[in-house]
Amino acid sequence: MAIYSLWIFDRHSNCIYSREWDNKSKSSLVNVNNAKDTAKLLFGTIFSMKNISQNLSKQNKLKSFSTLRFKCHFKETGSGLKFCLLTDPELEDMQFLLDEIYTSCYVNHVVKNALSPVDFRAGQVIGSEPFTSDIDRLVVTLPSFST
Amino acid sequence: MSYYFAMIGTKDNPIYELEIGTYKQSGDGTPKFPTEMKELNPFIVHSALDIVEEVQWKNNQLYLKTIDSFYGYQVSAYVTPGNVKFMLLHDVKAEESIRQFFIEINDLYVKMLLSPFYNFNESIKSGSFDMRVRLLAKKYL
Amino acid sequence: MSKSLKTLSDDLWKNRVEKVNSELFTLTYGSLVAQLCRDLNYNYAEVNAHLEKMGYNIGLRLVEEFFAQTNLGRCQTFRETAEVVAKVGFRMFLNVVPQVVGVDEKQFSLVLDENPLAEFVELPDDGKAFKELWYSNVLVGVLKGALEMVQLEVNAFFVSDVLRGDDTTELKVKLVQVLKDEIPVGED
Repeated sequence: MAIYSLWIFDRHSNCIYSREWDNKSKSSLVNVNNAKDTAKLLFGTIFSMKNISQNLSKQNKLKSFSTLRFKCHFKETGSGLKFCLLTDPELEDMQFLLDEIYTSCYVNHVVKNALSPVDFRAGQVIGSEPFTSDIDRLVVTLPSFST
Repeated sequence: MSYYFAMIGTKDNPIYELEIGTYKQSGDGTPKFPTEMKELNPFIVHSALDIVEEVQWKNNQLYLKTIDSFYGYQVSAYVTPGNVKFMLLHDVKAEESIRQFFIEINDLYVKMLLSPFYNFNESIKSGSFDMRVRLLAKKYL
Repeated sequence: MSKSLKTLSDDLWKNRVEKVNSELFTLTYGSLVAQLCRDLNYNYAEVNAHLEKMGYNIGLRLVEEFFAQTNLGRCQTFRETAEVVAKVGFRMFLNVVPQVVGVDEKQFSLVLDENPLAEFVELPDDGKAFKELWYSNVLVGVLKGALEMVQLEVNAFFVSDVLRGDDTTELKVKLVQVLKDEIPVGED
């Protein structure tokens, strides 16, 4: 079981943050692949999955979906921010982690930081280092982070 | 019975003044100062300021009671912590009710200071302040 | 629905929300408005515009705090939006609950019986302020900013203010359009 990466998309559908954890090389990638196809495809998939689930039933909400090798945990806030966590498919429900990332990391380091933008322009990303280290603290300490 | 009330800023500048009569003992609230007295009122109060500045350091009370008199008229004073002076010229002795009056005026004045558009030491032009002072005068004097 | 909103906002107010001394808050806002008036040479139309802009930027942020604390989702109807803004939003950030009046699918009015921004305030007696200054105009901006983040483009404005001698303080919000969720260009 493992947690692979975190992606955040804003309401303009731009990828404003990405964080990839690579256990083998121990390297940390922050905001490296935001403009790459992976991000765009991921957004497209989420977008379609969200529409499908809503078409099935009005009150339906997309929480996660999995493939053979991956599971995507998803949370969308009322303000249209989309949080997306890619993990091993064996992992249990990770909504609590996405909630925590939103309420403590995003709100504290982006929203309450008056000098940081909250409505991102295309190409703008969350560059705050404390933001990344807070997320790391939340994620890396989880038992399911790497096994 | 007639009263002359004045608020004096820290630069000896008047920021508010009011002449008012009593409502007690079937008074109708109009001041009955003799004409020559009317003109003298500001001067009597102003000359009493020197005494206030002397007395205010002799005790730690805000209300200084009667500090001066002039041909049967008395001057009572109250100094706010911000050194704004409330002066009242009156012709009868009523220490306790004047004290109450000053304390409530001070409350009003503090509220006035909290208004963002009022600056310290500026003359008070607010109609509602004037109205409230008159109500207090009616209640206590 | 409205019953549970009340329970929710009561709980938020008691247990979750950080509080600040109300006089500090009122005086801070007051000196901000007074300073704006001086800086802009008592051009009240411009002061209103500035306050609205500030409010807009606050609104963009407040809405995230709102969602983080309440865990609510998007509203289904504009009526529901009105209820949530009044009963949860105002309660959470200002601890007042304005009355919602004249509500339909396109607009609503908020009537503020109490306005924490405007306590102690007396407008300057220069003959203009009573006609031109909307002292609490920051609220207009906050509503615009916050609602824009939930894809509601609105037009908001004060129609009356007790500071001006009106009987009530009323803020009107009109729905301009529901913005579409954006999709990336070229990925249809």
